[in-house]
Amino acid sequence: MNNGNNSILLAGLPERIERDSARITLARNARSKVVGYFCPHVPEELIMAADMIPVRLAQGGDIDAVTAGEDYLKADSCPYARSCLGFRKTENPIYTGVDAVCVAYTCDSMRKNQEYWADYLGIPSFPLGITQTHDRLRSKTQSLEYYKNELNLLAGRLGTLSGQPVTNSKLKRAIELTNRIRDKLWRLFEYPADKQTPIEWRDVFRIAQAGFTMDRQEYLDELTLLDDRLGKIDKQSLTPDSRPRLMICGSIIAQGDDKVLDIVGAAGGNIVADSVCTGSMFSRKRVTLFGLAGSPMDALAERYLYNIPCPFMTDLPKRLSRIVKIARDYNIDGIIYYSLKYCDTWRAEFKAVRDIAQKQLSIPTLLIEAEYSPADIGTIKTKVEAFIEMMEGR
Amino acid sequence: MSEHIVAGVDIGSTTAKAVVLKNGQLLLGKIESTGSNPARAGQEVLESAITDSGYDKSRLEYTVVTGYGRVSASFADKTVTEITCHGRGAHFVSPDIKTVIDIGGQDSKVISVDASGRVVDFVINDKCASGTGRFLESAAQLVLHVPLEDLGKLSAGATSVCKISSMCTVFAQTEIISLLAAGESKENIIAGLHASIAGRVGTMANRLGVKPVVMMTGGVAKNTGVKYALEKELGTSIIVPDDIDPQLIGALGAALIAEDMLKAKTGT
Repeated sequence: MNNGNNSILLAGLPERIERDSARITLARNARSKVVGYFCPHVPEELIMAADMIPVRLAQGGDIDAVTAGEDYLKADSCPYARSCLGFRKTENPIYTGVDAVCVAYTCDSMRKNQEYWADYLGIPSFPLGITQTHDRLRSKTQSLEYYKNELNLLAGRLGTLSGQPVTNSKLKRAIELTNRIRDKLWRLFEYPADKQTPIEWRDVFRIAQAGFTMDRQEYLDELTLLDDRLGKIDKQSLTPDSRPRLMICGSIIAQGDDKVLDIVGAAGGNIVADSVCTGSMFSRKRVTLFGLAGSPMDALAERYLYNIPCPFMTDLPKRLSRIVKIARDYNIDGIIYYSLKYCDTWRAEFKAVRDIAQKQLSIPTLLIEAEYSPADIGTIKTKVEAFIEMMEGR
Repeated sequence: MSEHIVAGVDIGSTTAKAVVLKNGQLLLGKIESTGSNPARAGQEVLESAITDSGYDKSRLEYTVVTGYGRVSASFADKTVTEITCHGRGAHFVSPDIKTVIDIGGQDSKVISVDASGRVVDFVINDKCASGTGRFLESAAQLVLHVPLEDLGKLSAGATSVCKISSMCTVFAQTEIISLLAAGESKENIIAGLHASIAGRVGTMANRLGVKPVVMMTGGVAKNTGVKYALEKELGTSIIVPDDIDPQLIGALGAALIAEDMLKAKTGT
């Protein structure tokens, strides 16, 4: 439960950040071009270095947008992917406010998204090819070189769009700013590792999501302010949280897709860590610039190719060892594995995650397959409540 | 602790069940149809179970409600999911069980329990009637025109087992109509329906890992044909409670939890 003192401190803060993001979205259209991206394989630093404003188009949980997206994608495809197109039709201000999009080829539906944005919505839509295949017969450099080449092409296109070419020095400045945001966010995500925490994962997650659309400098300022305030709290004075400690892992949890998180909270579960692409992973790893002579593009490629929690792009052993590490670092009692219905990429990984959690951590994993409609709330509630009863009975 | 009465109520999609315990011992169980008002059905079956036990409802000290209708049961002192309740109830009936397969009217679930009856893992089928009592009910009543309770007996007379491949309840009906038109016997078709459910539930069970002793609970456990098909599918024998109606196991578990809660409350 919320500690009394922390609820006073944090009252309204996530809401303020969310409100700001809407204001900034409207304001910025006047002064600069806005470029949207979906998957976090697209480095926002490239967009910033071309003097444009990056926004992550990661909204969801809206059944109207899903239905609208069925004009393009079939009804049994991932609801997030359908929404990516649907939000244009339902006139979501962030989706209609973008001047261009960058789309990483991370699954079948996103690939078609890239093409439909260009061909049907008439918005410049830049593809980002990406592959990660290496074993005894294929060197690591092969995929890295390919990805770097793709990033260079993207940088060129972004520069042409804005009329402001991406230079090394602008790229370095963008990397530095983004790294500072990462450092601040990561400190927040580390707090819930402790049972006595001044901020819960759910609030940190909302703050991370609010950052998708905020002005980067203003976002950093807000995070710094919050970090300073939290730093002043004596953790020893806080009541330890005794609820079962859960980790959420799986498909994208888009902004507005609160259904499962709400159910877990109402059932008495406490999510303290995540491995989802909208959560802590953005901040977990900085872009490392090696010295003054180091190529920023090399650094970006290395960071963005290998550090996104995506089962489509990551070898299974690496995915599993990361999940095990997070579970240990945060003393997890159970994993909630979230699979958006029809998201084959994540659903396919579930068995391996469940098995490793059982074998190496002796903790259970609960599979939740959900859509954005409220129809499955009853079943999900029963599953989540039974899972938490099971942990409390231990 | 002096003489005390507690109850468990399980409000399922088809039936509402109540179990009454006196001093922790099973006194009475009752089953009624749910109808269109789940909360009222739960309250009614509870009140009539208490009356049938020879007590006044004011004597009832603690009630735990489970089943999908639990969310609207305002008379509950506590609600617990059917997973926990079925594990607890099955363990009480037979303390050596490790796996519980509950096939109800609207969903089916497989539950692993430890030596003390605590749930260690579970799977529930996802919002679809395949592999549930509803699947059998619709086929029996709408297409085959045989009473639901005769399915087990009839399937024993099958000479071969029809292949029914549709998981969907509606498509399966169409498939059955085609089989009937092709001259297949009702018996063979019913055996096919049972094999279809067993296949569906068996896949779920194998995902979890089936450890003997296995117990079947829920309304479908009374169908000997499904039990037989599931034994074949899983390659292990399955027990069905005989001292108590298998449909009451969830309510029994809820009543046992009510007894625990009352003891914790009164500090005994």
